[in-house]
Amino acid sequence: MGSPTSNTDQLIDRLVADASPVRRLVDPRRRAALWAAIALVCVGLGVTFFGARLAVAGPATLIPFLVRLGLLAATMWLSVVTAFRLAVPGEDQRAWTRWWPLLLLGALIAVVAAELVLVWIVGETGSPLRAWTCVRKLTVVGAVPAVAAMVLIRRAAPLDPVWTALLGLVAAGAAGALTSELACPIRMPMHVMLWHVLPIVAYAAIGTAAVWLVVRIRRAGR
Amino acid sequence: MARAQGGDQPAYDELLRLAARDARGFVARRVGAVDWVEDVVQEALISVHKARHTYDPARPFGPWFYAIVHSRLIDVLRSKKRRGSREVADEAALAAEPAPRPAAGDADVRETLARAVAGLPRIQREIVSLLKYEDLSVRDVARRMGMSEAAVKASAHRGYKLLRRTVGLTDVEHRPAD
Repeated sequence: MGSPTSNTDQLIDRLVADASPVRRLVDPRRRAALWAAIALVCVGLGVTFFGARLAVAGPATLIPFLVRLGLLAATMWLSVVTAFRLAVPGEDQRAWTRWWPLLLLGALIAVVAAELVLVWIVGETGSPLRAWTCVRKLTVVGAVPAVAAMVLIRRAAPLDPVWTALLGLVAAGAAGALTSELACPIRMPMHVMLWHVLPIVAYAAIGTAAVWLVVRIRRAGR
Repeated sequence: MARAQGGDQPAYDELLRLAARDARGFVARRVGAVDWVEDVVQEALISVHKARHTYDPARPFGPWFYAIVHSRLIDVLRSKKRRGSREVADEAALAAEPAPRPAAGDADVRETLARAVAGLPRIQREIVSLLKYEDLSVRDVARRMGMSEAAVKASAHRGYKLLRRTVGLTDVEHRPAD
């Protein structure tokens, strides 16, 4: 057995022998644009299939609805751009930038929570109706962007796979929730919170936990 | 690196050797002279190899490369920490094992064990006595001795090892001849 340095020299020899030409990865923003195009096609197909329900009762419902749509779209875009940038070493070294998409998601939750408080004050909270249909819409439409995000992330080289997966899944969840918002006639804050917004958090948490577990098992196996 | 991406092996060889040297310096600057520097260097080189398609030649090589080395350094540090805590857990398992206890009525062995315990270094003697003869928990012993729980476990482990060795030999000497 040689010294550690000579082992490194042998490793270098092996890596050099294995150095075939590689295809360079496309810029993360262009990859994010490709993903967004896929996600928007899925949203479009979902809304066409489930039927668009864009009718709103008045400005009191329209404004929060538009704010939610804006926040969902922004969360989706920022999450995927950040995920793809995180998947390239040295691309973004500022630790705080990964929090921006989560802050947007937090803002979305805060907006819906504020609506919930307002309707609770006037006594029209409504009941937390079971609406698995909305979760089904979110799941069906979000699945393809989620798989696409994971494939595109794996194609790069994420140094922090857990964070990268979390952001990719938030982006996919936001795409699914966008469909729920456009294809669901119920605008009650309680319903929106439970069946449109919180499933994004739930899916992202479950998916990230799974990735964390896989990473941990792989590292333990080394 | 751009040439290496195109499959230029001599350029890649030169790059990896320079990268290994820089990685060694990077690690040494952060954690000092440790015996596992080469672990980090090798992990980093493997990652550079796997991630070489992600390097954009329009950008400087440094941030890309040092992000990889930094990440691998963190990974190796975490794995060292995990291994360290596993060793402490093993010691805890040993500490939870019953200390060699003489059978009731076997006055010779009881005396031998008492002598063996008395012969332990002071800290180990106190810890073993508190854990096994006063049945205190590791936490209570740590509090009483003003030590960390990990230190108590490690000390108990060493004490048991010494005790087993001593008592084992003495047992043979004291075994009555058939």
